[in-house]
Amino acid sequence: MLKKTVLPILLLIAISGCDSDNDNNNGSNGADLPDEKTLVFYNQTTADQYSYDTDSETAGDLNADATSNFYMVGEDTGRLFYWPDEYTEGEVDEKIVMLKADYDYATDGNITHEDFIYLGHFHDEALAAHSADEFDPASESYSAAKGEALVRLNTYLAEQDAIRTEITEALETVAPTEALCNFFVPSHHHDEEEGEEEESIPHYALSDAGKLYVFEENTSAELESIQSAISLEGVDSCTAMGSGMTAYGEHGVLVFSSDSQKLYLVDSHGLDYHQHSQWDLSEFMPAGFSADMMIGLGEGEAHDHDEDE
Amino acid sequence: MILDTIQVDGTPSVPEGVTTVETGELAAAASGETLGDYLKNSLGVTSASYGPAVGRPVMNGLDGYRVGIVQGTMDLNDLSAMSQDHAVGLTPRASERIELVKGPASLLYGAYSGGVVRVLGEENLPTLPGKKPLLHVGVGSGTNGAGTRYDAAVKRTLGSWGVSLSHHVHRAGDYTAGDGSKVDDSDLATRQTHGVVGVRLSEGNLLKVYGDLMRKDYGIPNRTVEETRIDMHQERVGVVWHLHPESELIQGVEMEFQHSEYLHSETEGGRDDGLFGQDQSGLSARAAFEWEDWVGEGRMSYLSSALQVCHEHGKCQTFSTALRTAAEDGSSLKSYYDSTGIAYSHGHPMPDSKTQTFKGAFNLTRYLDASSLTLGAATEFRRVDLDSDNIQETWLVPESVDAGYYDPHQDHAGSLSVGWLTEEEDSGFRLDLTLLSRLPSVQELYWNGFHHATDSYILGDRHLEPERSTNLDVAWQYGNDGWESLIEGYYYSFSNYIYQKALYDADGTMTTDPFHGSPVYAMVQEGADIYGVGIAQSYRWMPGAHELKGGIQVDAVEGRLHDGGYLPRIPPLRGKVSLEHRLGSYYATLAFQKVAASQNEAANESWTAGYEWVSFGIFQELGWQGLGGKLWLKGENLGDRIAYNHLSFLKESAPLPGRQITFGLDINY
Repeated sequence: MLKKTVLPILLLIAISGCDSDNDNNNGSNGADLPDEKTLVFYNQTTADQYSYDTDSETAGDLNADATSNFYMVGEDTGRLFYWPDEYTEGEVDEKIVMLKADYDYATDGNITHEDFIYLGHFHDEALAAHSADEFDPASESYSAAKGEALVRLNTYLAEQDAIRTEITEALETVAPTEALCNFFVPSHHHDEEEGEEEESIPHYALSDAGKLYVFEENTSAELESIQSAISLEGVDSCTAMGSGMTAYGEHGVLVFSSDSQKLYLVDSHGLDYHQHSQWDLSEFMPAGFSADMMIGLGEGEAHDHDEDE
Repeated sequence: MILDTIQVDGTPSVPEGVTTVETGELAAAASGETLGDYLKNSLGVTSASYGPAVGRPVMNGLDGYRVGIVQGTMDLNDLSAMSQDHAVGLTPRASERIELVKGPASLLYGAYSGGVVRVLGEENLPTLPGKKPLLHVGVGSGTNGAGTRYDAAVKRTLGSWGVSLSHHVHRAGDYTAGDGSKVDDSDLATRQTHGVVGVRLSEGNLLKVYGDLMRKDYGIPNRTVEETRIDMHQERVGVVWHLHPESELIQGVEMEFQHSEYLHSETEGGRDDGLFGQDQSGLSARAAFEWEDWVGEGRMSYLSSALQVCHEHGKCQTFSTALRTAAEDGSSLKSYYDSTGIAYSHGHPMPDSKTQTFKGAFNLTRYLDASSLTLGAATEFRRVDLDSDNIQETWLVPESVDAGYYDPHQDHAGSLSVGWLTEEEDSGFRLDLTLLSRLPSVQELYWNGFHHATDSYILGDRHLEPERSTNLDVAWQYGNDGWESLIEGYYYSFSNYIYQKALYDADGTMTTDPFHGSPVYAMVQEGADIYGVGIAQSYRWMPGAHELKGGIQVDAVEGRLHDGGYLPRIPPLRGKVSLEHRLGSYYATLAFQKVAASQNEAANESWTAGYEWVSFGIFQELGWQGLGGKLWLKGENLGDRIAYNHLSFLKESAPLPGRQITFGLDINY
């Protein structure tokens, strides 16, 4: 840089004369991920798993405590699954389910305590987990409430399976050469005002080519693509075990790709969805950690496009 | 001899093609610290302000790339012509003199239909500082966002060596407009340090080495909820060789080599959303010669400029190379092209580019009794090499959309000018006729993306032709018995004026981009005329020891497209009445300016209200045992009127400052 070689006397004067210049508005503030999200990343090979709180910008090692129900070392290979548990009408408790990797609702049917490893959610402010054993009817920890929770989880799994079929068919119509890799449909919390038209819920679909498609229900209640595919920088393939998605407000989604080890924010400002931002995992995760999949809790900060553009 | 130019003191004078003003004189009359603030009292000059940190001069209604800014003999390394929110990369107060160059003389520096602003530093003066050491200290402070300014300079010559060192600081907080509303993010912090070491190698053989550091950190008073800021850095080093050979033909030579690095970041809410960098190296040789009844100047220059642009939310701390996969290049861009006919991009708006420009120009003047005839010619060759490695894979322009988009771009242009000057005892007349050809900027050719400053989507066109215009400038001056009159008229006819034209859908609605819903403007070329007149009339009388001078000044300009409609951001009609009073070492000014409401707005351009502006200045020159200096008190917008600058993209969110009172002291020893 020229600055390092220009006349030292100029530099000296410039520094000595202006030590209080307005320097406080430059540079990023941490990774600057969207607020109000707790992200969980998991590596199937090493069993490493970390949480990341975007508000406090802190990462936590979920395997740090061997006595914790989160502890995955030595456990079966898992698969992260997001469950917005509507435990009572209108009330949702977001949960993380670490399914066993070989469990598939479509072929294996209803989930039992043998099909997952832990079930995590927030207890007040802290992320905590129940072990799958607690959901074993033979266990001392078993309760009727836990049995009811499994029933609700199976209902949700069935709904997701039906949605998967719907999205698979919709994708075939717009990208017949591509197959569905992963999908995400945000749970709908927005209460319409009286007389307000119900908003369409975006259905985000990742194809095996790594492209993101957005579908919405038409007047015939069929899914149709609302715009052309969105390409993500550095992504040209996708596997279900090598990706993840989570909500970002009502019109956005955070997408993780293990191929690029990047997190992408795709959103719309009332217009077309597009890749708005991206973060390398290394920007906010411990050095050396690589992830296979991700899920997230929290809705993500309210989005005002005027702020961003 | 080089740099021998006409000195003026701000009064109407002989209408030479080159007008040189000492920076101190401009500073005394300036309402702010931008180059536009320094020059906008001149006939035909206005300032395209974008808050108090940004003010690029607009000459006879021409702005941006049509007005050249030259530092010494080198093109100024900044991006102020690219975008209205980018500040000019110099602190005018750090210069020694400023020249306004028009007509054939301006071709020496390039093809600028609006003329050239040439800013001269100590390194550009063909002499060493005086043998008497000079120490200058200046302070100034004011209300309502005028901020605080400090200057210090020292000059000394010892034997054949001379040194000059100056440091300038200006800090200001947010100001309040005339309606009492606070203009958020209108603060700034500027500093510039400039040092020159000169050595006289032999008689008529002077070498000067210089270095310069500049930083400007300022807010953008736009409508975004979060704070928008620009932090600009510029560093320059160079060497200037002043040679005055013992030759009847060559009267003087000025050769300059300069390397400069420019970088500015744009943040919103603290996130690094934009980064612009330009490294520039150049060599320039300028010579003055005399041959029989002809005198003239010639200049050749080579400039290499590497430009990088980043626009990605929160990710523009540094420039980066985009990832590449096996995926199809430009799939997203092509998708939009196929569905809308427009190759929209949400990636970095431009590929990295390296531009190499060679310019050659000369002018020849033949003196004929009381008249002179000047001929000028200029040519320019350019090669632009593009590097798309920065563009995200999905937003590359694929061959199927525009084959060879990233291929090298080569073009050239030539300009001719003839000037006629005649001077009588009490009058003078100048006529310049110029056929000008300007190469489109790299940004005009290749920008494809959102533009924060104007909340618009800009589509460049790499097939733009050189912009051609026929420029006619006339000036008539008369002075007798205290009366001074100056009338300047101009008519610039562009056969293919480059401007941003709003696009419309088939149903007549304005096209908006698919990401932000912002209006889409395409770089187009259409015929356009810009014409106007400037009148300055003054009368000076001296009752006793008093010297009084009253003046009026009027500027009117209009810009029309040949196919109908008007050009945007044309300065509204303005008139000024001023009174000056001098008595010994005391000097005072009082001025009333009326800027009319905008008329003949361009399509989609909003109307701007007119305003009145009253200003005053009181100056007391000081002298005591080798100390000299000036004590001053100035006021701007004394009526505290709400005032909107029609030339500013931020005219509504950033009205001009309300009442400002500043005072200061400059001491020379």
